[in-house]
Amino acid sequence: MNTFSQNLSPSIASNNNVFAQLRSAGLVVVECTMMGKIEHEPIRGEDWFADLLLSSPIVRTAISTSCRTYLPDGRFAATEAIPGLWIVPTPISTDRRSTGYAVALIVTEELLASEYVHALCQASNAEVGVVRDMIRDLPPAAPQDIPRLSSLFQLAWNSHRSHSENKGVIEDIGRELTDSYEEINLLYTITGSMNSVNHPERFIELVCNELLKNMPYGWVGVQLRTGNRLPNPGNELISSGDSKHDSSQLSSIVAALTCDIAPGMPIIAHSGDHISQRLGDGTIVVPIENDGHVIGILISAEKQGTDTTVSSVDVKMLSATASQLGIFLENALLYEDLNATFLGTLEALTASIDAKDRYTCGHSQRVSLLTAQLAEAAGLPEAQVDRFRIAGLVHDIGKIGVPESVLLKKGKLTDEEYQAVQQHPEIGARILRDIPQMNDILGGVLHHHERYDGGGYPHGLAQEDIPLVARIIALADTFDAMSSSRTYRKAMTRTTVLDEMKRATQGQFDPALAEIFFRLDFSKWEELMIEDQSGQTNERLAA
Amino acid sequence: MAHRILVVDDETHILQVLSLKLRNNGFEVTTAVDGEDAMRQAIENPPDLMITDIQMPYMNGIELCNALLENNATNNIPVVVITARGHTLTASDTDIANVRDVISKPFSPRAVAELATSILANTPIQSSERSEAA
Repeated sequence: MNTFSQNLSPSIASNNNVFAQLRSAGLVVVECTMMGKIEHEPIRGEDWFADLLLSSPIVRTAISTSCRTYLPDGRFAATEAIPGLWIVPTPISTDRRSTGYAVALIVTEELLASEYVHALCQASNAEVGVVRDMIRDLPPAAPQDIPRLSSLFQLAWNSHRSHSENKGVIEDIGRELTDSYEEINLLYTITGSMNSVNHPERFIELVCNELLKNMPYGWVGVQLRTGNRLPNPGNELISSGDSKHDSSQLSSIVAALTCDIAPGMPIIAHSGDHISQRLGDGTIVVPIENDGHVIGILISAEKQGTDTTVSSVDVKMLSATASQLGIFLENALLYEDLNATFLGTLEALTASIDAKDRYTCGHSQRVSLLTAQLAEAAGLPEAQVDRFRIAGLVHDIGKIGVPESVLLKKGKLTDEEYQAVQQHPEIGARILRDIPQMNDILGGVLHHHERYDGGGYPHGLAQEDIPLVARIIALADTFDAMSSSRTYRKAMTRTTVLDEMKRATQGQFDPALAEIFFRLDFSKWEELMIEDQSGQTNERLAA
Repeated sequence: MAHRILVVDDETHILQVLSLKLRNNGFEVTTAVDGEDAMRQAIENPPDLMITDIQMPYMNGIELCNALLENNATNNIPVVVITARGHTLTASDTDIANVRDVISKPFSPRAVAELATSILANTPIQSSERSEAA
């Protein structure tokens, strides 16, 4: 069998089958360059017929000449190099460019009678008689078959070529399709998480992680320049992966980059420029845009592997993600703005009620803090903790309907006055009940003065009938009230308050919640307390 | 010798992408275009792992999983099921003993290759050598 060496280039190795098939039809095939230099031929010692033909300088020269003089006019291109030896070149092209020729050698019976057979035998040290017998046994082609054999060779070769080209195209499409699948999957994953507008930092982290999985880079990061409009991540670089720089170095490099970038203009680092010097060749920086403004950058840096050229897949993946980030951040900014306005308005409103009485100054804010802390420590989900925080903030909103003379009265309240004070949970619930967005926290406002033993007001609910949010606020509210200087009671130290509350636990509070409450970290509450008290002092000084 | 995976899907592009990705990850891959075709191949030449779509003509992916279980030659083949996103599978669909994992389309070919690697990591190669015809 006509074999080609295993260590030939892959394209030639894949040709093995067609070479073998042509050889069995009596054709010896070689591949030549455009200039007729023989590049690939059957290895010596494995095929006597190929050896015989290709050992001869005459044949080799004739092959070269046939390539150099080939005219691509579609005419029959076989030439009889020596009597009985036909040479048929057919052009090879790669990527639509001619790259050389495949040349078939066909022997007819005329070679047996030709004196050139001596020259052939001489060149390969073979005996003429033996060679003649072997050629006879091939058997050689009839002269009139040459045009047909030539056409068949060209046909076979061309369909072989187009078959391997198509195979290559299908593989290329497969590869590109694989990349597209990854891209679609990435966008699906990202889009599926875009609803987490209240936690932009988590979404950004997810985006960086997903990108890093799909791209051959050392790290992927996002640096926003939205100032303090998004408290989290704020001005922090969020990244996934490992950098050769330490985090402070990296922050300053990246901060500088955010100034370089313009809308619609991704930057690809090229060897030697200032970005490639710091973050490596192939680093890509893409602007994250909102309404035509750059609100941040998405970076993939420190490309892995030896090939640092940037593929269009990398750029596409990053750009597509950046535009998703742009949409997400626009929503996150809107949400944050709305939320900040909403909370700010509530804080201002409740603070103004607290401020009527200097001893309750900051009370709502502190109760809100402790409510959230207790809810969190009790293991409630984050979204619920956030709602309870608001409930804590507005729990005393009904005090707006209690006469100031009663609220500010020094000394003991009369029964009527005490009844007026006891109205505030119901007033508060009435104020809020028409706001659908407050429905889930109404219970906290209405029932925060209920007692676990059923002795509280306004409805005398007991145990689990008291909404959870109200049971939590009750603890926070009582603690803060007892700790503050109130008209009816001197301020007690925190330990005294906690001891006093522990005694009251017998009936007033949910014992399980109280247990958790007593172990809370009160340092943040204390900070607020100090702030509020110094505020009072300043007011008094100003007055 | 490598683990052999039989990929079953009536969509050519999915067969193409998965074959390419899995081969690049060192697996031998054969393909089938529907459940019947897959069942025939699995009996003739049981693979180490089968990755199959659900929606297919003649015999769908769930029917295929059950059919594999009913045949002594194929009841040990682990299966990964690919389903269209949003097409919810019932518990009885995914509780089939040989279903190891469920993947939603569009999927990440890289993730599928990782999954195949982890499923086959500690499995000795069972599949017989691929015949020329396969």
